[in-house]
Amino acid sequence: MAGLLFRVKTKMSLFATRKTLDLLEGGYASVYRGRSHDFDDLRAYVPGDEVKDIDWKATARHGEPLVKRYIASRRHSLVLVVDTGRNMAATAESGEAKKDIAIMAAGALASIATGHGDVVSLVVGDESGVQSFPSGQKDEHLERLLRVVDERITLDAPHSDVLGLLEHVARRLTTRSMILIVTDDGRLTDEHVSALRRLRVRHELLWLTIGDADLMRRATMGAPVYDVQEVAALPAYVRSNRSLQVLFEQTAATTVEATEHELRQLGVTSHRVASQGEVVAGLFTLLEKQRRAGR
Amino acid sequence: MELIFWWMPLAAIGAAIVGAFVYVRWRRRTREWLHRDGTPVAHSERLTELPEYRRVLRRYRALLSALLVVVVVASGAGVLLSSRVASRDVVEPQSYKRDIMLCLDVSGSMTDVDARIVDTFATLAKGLDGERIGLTVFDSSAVQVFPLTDDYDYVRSQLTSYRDSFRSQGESGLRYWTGTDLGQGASLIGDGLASCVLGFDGDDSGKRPKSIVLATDNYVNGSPILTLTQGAALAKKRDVRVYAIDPVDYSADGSPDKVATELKTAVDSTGGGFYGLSSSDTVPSIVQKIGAQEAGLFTGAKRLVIADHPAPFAIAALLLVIGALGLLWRVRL
Repeated sequence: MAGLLFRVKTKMSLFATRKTLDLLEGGYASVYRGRSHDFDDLRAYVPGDEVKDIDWKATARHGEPLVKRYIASRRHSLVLVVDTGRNMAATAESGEAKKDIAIMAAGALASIATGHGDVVSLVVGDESGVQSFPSGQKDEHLERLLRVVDERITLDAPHSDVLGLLEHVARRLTTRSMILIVTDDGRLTDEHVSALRRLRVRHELLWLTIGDADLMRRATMGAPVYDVQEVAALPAYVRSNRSLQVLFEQTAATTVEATEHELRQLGVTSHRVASQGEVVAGLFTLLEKQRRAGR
Repeated sequence: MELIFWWMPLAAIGAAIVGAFVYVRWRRRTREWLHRDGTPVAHSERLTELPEYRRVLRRYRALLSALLVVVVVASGAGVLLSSRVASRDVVEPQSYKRDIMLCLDVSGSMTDVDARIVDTFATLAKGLDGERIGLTVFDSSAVQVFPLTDDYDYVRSQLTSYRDSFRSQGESGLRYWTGTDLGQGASLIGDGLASCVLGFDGDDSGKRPKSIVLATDNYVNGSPILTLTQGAALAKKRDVRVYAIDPVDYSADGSPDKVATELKTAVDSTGGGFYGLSSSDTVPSIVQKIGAQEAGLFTGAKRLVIADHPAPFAIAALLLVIGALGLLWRVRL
């Protein structure tokens, strides 16, 4: 099983401290409010756990905080919605491949979800169509899902189509789920907004943006730069233009802000990560935001 | 203007065509691989939608086309340079640089003619190149005023001062007759001519045409060591042509008198010429005629001269290459 999932787990422990990982676990657990009253066992409190889950009597006996764990009333389902178009094969803001960050994020959340006994399914898609994979819980299943993402995202892949992906999920996914949407710095159109609005009615939406490369700053690295959509090179002469650099940075920042604002208005929790190192913390932030949103 | 390596432009065009063909083939084959070297990025519309980007891109394209033009013109200049642009001229080289000895009889009757001769040569000296002029004056003895020289400034100053002296009959400036009256008699023309002949260089001057402009009226007064005929024979032996300018008095029947005829015979025997100075002829026109007669003798064989002219192309290519490098730096290719 030394595959993608193993790598994701390794990276999780590399990039994040134990504490952060615990935080993430707790954050994931507390996102769901609907749970059974069948007491399962006690475990040590980790920051991020709901305070009301603390078993005060047990804590008093034991000397340190313990929280009650319940048997999940039903399996929750996590749906990974990953944009696997050509765009995702491009470079991220950190210089890593966006694909690696996407796999990292999807794998991290999926492994936490399966750890909680939840099932994970995958919907991938690009311009050529959308593909769904059934839910599963085992590591082998997760590995297969991650492999799908890995194999589909190439520079020869069809163009990205986030809208088609969202509409497909809105149409097909009927069971109430937590949806992690992994995409990049695109612009939200009205169609996106309406699809998200429909999705939001039924599901919990987590929107993870993988930051795109800063087109101008990479000019200093000297390597040629080209756009995956048009396969047209962006000349170094243009990219080294000072006033254009300033203008681009402003525009890029405005676009990111606008997207975040739009998603917030929709009630969709969103976060933007730029590198693999930010993924664990980013996911935690995302879950925290979701919990605070009071759903 | 012609090309020595006329095939060079054709070869260059051929090479360019072959190069373009190979490049297109290679480009086509590696088309799908081409975009793999470099950083792939997405959502470049964040950049390309900016109006500023279009402006910068327009400027970039303008620079690129300028670069293309410069490179093409520079290669053209380079091809022309390597084709050896040359001019083909047929020249008749004036294969000589003349030596002219002015040999002036400074007896009283001649000063007027002498003044005009030195004046003419003083004027001519401005336009000379490589020719040498010497001045010898004689009466009963000969004085070499200056030897054959191509220092024209000096020649002119000397001739001018002698002209002034002749005009003023020695009243102002130098006394032109100094040293010319040491012999017996006056106007010893044979001696004077021989002195002038001896004034030329030694044996190695064989290639330079030698001529003497002899101004005299040929009225001998006294007994010279050499007669005029002997002097002329010496000149002929040394390959010196003697041109005589004689302010001759034509007699009533229009034929020259006896002394003039003797002078004419003598100078004609050297291959030179005799010019009577009548009212219709001026000294400058006679000097011109002498020049023409000399030039006719010494025109060399026709020669084909092919001369390369690389300078303009080399300079143009250099400047264009500098320009191309500057543009390359500017567009960061």
